[in-house]
Amino acid sequence: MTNHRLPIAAALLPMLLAAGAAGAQSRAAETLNFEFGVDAKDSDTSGSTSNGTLGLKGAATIPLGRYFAIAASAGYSKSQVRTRDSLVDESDSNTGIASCSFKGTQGGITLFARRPTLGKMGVSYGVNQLSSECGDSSRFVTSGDDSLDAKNYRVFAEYYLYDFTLAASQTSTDLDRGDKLDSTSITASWYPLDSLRISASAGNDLYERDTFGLMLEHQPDFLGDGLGVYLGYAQTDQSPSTRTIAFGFAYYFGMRVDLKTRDRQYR
Amino acid sequence: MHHLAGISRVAGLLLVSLLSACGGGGDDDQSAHTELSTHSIAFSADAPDAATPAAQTVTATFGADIAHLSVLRAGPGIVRVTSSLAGRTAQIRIEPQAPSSIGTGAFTSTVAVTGYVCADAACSTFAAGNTETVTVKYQVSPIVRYVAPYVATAETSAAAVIRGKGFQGFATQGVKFGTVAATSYTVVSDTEIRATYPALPAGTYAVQLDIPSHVGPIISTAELVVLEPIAYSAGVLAYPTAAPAIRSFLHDAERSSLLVATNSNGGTILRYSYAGGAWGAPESVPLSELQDLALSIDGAQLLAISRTALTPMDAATLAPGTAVAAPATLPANSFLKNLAVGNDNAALITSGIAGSTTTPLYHFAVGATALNELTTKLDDATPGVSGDGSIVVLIQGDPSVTAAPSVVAYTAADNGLAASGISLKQTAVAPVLDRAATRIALNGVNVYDSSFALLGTLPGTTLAVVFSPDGKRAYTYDSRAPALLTFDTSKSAAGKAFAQLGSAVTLVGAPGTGVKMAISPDGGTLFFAGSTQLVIQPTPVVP
Repeated sequence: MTNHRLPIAAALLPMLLAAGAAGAQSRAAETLNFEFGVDAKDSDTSGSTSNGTLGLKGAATIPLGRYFAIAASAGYSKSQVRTRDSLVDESDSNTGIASCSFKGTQGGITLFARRPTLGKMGVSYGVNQLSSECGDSSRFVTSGDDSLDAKNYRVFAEYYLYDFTLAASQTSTDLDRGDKLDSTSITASWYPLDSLRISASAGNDLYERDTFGLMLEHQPDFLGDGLGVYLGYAQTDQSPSTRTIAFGFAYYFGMRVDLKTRDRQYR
Repeated sequence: MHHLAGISRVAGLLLVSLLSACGGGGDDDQSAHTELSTHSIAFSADAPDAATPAAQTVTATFGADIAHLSVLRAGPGIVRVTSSLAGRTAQIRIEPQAPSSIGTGAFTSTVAVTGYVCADAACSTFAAGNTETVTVKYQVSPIVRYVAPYVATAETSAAAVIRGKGFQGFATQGVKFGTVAATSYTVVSDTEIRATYPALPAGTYAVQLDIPSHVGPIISTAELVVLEPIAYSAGVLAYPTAAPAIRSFLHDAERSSLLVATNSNGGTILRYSYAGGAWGAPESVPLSELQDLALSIDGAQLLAISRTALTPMDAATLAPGTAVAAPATLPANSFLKNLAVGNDNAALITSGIAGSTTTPLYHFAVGATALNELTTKLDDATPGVSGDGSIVVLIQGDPSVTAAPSVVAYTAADNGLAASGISLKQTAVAPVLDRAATRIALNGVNVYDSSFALLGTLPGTTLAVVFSPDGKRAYTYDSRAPALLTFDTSKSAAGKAFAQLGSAVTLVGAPGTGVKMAISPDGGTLFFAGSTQLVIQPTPVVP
């Protein structure tokens, strides 16, 4: 698993540090704030199964002095695999086991430093616990049973440039008794409005598969700057390709600020 | 404006870089790929009651990035799928359903194997890799076991009952006797087909089902033996030992022989064979306390019962097989009495005891090693069976009984016993049925149809009776003459006496007492066995 985009992240870091000496000063996170979100994803692999995922997520961001903040998050997701396209029961007898689902719980903590006028950089640690219900003959390869633990480490940096945010991250994930996965991603975000973010991401070279995605998040004024809605689309570049459509809501407790301000000063 | 221009340039560069990163898309990602050693397997069973086919194993080989291997199945043919992992391969073991559970038919099931990879950097969700499927074909074939009666007359069309299993699992398009199609057939149930064969020349014809959707041959052990009719001359055959009591009397048409169960020397089976236009000397096989004889439905075995055991014998050589003892549940002082074989090739065996007491009824599947006691108990019952083995009628009642007991009917199609609706105390004349159970004579007097509606009566002086194969004639040996009488049983006499056809025919020799009768399959010859001798008598020609 080559990390050919690691230099991108490394290049962003000195930019952020160099620019750190200039610009108006503010806190890494203005106040303690919380958010809660619900999202739904539909992931479809060509010529294979598709699955729908429903997830819940909560996060809290806590200021740590002027330059630092810490964020904690937890989530739960359940994916239901739709097998009918590939598992045809010609007899239509409805016999046999033909359903499969995954459940996951996630938790993570992030420490970051931010200059709201320049950017943000940080590290995070997360743990996931996954389980499957796909019949007695299905199992996680590394654990040999129907559950899997994983932990991940991530370093990231964001650079704020006018209405754009350039971001890069490097994630290393250890699967329980299994492989170590490394991936890099870069994301470019644009705020045509302070309440609208359009993000394009590329190069998440997980498994040598690059994923390209586009996401729109909107935090409409008429909802009091407390509710955000997002819609995303992503596709992997290798065969069989997987397309994912995501749709979700996030509710922000506390400060009522526009999306751009929230992204750069609160979370 | 300068700022906006700069922003646009940055955005443009970013877009270009994203698009350039898209290069190389569409390659196969083997590290997330799953391969199977085969995409189709097939199971087959020769019959619904055959053993379950052995499980088969498919090897899945998957790439280094697969984190979860899902093995799912759909369809009726598979009872279980298990997998075992070893490195980057999995052995997927597919076990078919037992044929007896799934029944006859062609079934298609699917096993889908999907490798899942982490869908995001933190591996919080999964995305599917390719799915590979195994198509599992499973064919459980019907089996044809018996045709009854298995002996037919050359150049004579007739109906027959075909027994087996799984007749309704496939769409049967025809029935063949050898290569000759049946003129008609009806699939009555999953175990029974009724077919009419055309006029056939002498020979042996395998009974086959024509099922285009079935792959491969269908096993059939049923053979129709078509024989030229033999014009036996009238005559008598002497016994080796004088004045035996006749327990049972059979005509083995396939072997042109007569089988007599006698009490000579404590029990003896006599066989008289006809060859080259003459009857040979009798073969004699001792069997202690011999009670009754019956041929298996395919004529391969001769079943002989003594008071305490059933002995299967080779019908051709009369070599005895291993005797099957009566169960320990046979009450003290009771004994095996009579038997009749249905077209499922299972014998119904009655038992008796001195006095008016019910005793067990047993079921014996030819080839089994034990008699199976049924829940029904009867009082000294005597069976009679139709030529096609479809119905066994049991009449009962010890001589001391005052109230007439129920006549019971056994249906070979479902092994069911049911009251006929008739109450009648038995006499010395056993029930007699024609070939297709359209005529049933009880006590040698009352003649019923297949629904046990009384059609008419025969003389009360009847000592023995047989029907012509088609049931249109009844031939009786009458005590008053003594002589052979012929009656028209082709239509109902509304419960009154059937009309006698022609005059009484004096037999070529007097059979003696305790007479039993048999008739050849072509209906051309009558056979009598009494205490004095065997009598062979051509069927009377009547208007």
